[in-house]
Amino acid sequence: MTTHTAESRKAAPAGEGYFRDLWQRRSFIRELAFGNIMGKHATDVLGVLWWVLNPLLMTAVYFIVFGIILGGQKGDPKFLAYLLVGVFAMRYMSGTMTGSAKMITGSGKLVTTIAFPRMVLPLAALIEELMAFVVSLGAFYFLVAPINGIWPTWWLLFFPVPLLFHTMFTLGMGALTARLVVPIRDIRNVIPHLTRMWFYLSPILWTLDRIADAAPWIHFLVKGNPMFSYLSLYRTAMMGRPLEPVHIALGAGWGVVALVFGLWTFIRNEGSMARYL
Amino acid sequence: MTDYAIEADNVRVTYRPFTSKVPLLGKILSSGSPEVHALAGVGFKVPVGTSIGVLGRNGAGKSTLLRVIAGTLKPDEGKVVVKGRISTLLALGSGFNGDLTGRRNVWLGCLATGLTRAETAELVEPILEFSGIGNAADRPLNTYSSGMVARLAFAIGTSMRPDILLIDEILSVGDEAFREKSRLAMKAMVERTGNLVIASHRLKIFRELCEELIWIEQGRVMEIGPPQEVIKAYRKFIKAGIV
Repeated sequence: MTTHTAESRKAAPAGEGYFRDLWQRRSFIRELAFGNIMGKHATDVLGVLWWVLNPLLMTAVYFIVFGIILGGQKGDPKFLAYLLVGVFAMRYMSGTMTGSAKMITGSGKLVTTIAFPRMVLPLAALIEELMAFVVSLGAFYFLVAPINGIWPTWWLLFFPVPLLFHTMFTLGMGALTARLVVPIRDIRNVIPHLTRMWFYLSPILWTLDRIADAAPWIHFLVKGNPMFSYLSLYRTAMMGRPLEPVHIALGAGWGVVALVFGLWTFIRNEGSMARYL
Repeated sequence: MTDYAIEADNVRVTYRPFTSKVPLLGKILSSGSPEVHALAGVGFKVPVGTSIGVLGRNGAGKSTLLRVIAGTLKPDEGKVVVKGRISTLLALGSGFNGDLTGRRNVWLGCLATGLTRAETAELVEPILEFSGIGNAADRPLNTYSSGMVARLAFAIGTSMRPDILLIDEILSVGDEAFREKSRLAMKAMVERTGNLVIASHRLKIFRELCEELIWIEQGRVMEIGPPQEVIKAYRKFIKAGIV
């Protein structure tokens, strides 16, 4: 027999039981993620094929704009590869943030009728974007590698390290976004601008020599950006760029901080989410 | 000693139109919109196997009470202890994911309650069968009529063989044949010593299916007792209000 007790929010601490429940819902998480992917393309003639075509087309657009028209070779000899690592990594994170917000505000019926650990929703959003990210890596080597002459090396085995830290960070950001968007829907209007700003402020469209002569505080800000560490590690794994060990420490640190804070604030507030949906 | 399926003690739920941890911001944004006491200290006990009805006018707090019992909404104060597996048919509508087929939505609904993949796989066909939606099972939920969505939701809720089934205004949907079918299913559920909790405006349902009736008004319990008596008091109250 199962028993549940709904007590006032202050009195109910989320313990191990929460994560056990979450683990029990793993099939549900997968179903939500795949359902979302299938649902998005349900009315397209090519269906789920778009899921693979999208990153390929995006790559092509970036190649035309930055590779040919703007001739982006100035900052980096392998500019297209440099750029795309950033584009894909950033899309993983911003996609998860918007996806988490959408999942939680769009699942009103589910949230008000069925009791389940709400972290299921940001997790499903993350998994959806994570799969897209991995698929886009295929696009990376398929299109860009021949153009820039970059082929997979042994360094690719290092890829899971930045992926793990970046995923922790991304999940934390997703949980935080979802937690905030429920009582304050206005956040939805802010997220796209915020992530776009983050994109431009991270070394993706530009290379570090642009700030070579800048003031120390600018250097401090640029390098304090968590994305800077993840991008650096991803470029090591995918392009064989030299590894800077400090980024392993920074990336892990940012990942743990974001994840712990995101989970903490999300779980603490999830009992009242049904009020706003 | 009686075994209780549901024990509610001094449950309070307050909706604030806007909550903010920043006092000033909260004050500005919620000025002019006072707090709403959806439940203002509700307490009752439901013995195992007893079916109860929740009666009250629009906005009385019926849906909020059902959400608290379902465990989807935590009260601000007080507590609810529920023993047994709960399944909910709270206010239905758009279903879960309109772009997906009815069948995928059944999967989603079952997995959400914590059933395993294997348990769900066994349930899916019987649920579709019971819902009687036929070939529509493989069409997107968006293409369903509201009656079909209701049938599917009802089929999901009852097929999970819950100990406690929560129903919020469902019986008004669906055609005559399905209404009859669902009434029988609920009767069977009552006879199986399951607990039924029904929130509705339709007094006839209470007389037929409930052994006890809770009447709430503005978040407070007005009366608890046998349906006939509570309905009488409720009618008197309504009449007095109109005059």
